[in-house]
Amino acid sequence: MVAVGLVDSKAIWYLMRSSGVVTLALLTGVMVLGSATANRSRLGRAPRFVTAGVHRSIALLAVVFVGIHVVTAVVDPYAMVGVVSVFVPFAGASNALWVGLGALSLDVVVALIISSLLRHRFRPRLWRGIHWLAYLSWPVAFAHSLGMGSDASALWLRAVAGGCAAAVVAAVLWRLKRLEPQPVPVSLEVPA
Amino acid sequence: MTDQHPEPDRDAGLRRIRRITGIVAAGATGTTALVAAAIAAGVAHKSSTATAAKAVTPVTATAAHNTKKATAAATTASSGSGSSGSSSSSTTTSSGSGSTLGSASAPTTSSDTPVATSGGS
Repeated sequence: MVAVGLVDSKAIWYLMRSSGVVTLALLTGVMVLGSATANRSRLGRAPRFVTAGVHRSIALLAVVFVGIHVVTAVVDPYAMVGVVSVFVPFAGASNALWVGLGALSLDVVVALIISSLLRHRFRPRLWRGIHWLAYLSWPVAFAHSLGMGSDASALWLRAVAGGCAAAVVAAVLWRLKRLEPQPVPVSLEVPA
Repeated sequence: MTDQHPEPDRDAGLRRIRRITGIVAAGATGTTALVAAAIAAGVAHKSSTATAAKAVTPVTATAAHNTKKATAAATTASSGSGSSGSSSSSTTTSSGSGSTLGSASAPTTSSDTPVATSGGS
């Protein structure tokens, strides 16, 4: 019985780590799709609402994986992350900084999801202001992933983290470039 | 006239959203399982390496200890000062065995085993 329990808790430990990495990848996808939505880009030939729809559904999927990550962290007897530490940033006794960053990112993601689901009840400017928090959520989650240290020294995690960082930086630069005022095209044709 | 075929576009778009979401969900689930299995395999490999290293360690440590002791004794004999010889011998022995054991027990699966990383995620 003890051996079975040990195997199970190890499986939970591995599941927590892997779900964390997949969540980071999903959040990266959400960031990129969010920039694409804001830039009014299309996914192939699909209408524009498909981009926004995929952005929304991948965000909900990321929440599911965040949920798996959080539940396994609380259940795992070795991680010893309390329920309070999961939601209240920097409240934990052990690894307070890195667990706190994860809690902060979780709180922001939850705020983003709830405000988006209730978007019709918010004034557009307020909703947009809350949605800008996404730009805070991702780097905090990124720091949490690398700072916890479980797999930080592994080459594969560094490769995943590097890919995610490159994708988000490119998406942000793309977004900023679109925010710049575009020059008004001047017609060179002489009217007949 | 402008809204001739709004429904087919909408339905096709919704189907596309569902299809992409399904693919991503399946990919994420599969990746989670694969990564967990890969971490477990890596941990198993590291623990087997550590076990093998521990089995070799006493022999290596003893050999290193004996070699350094012999070297120190030879140095003492050539220099002829008994007190300094015994002192250098004890110093060499302690540092030598320490380094050997340290290198052998280095892969203690620092963060892979839950025991070593309690408190982390």
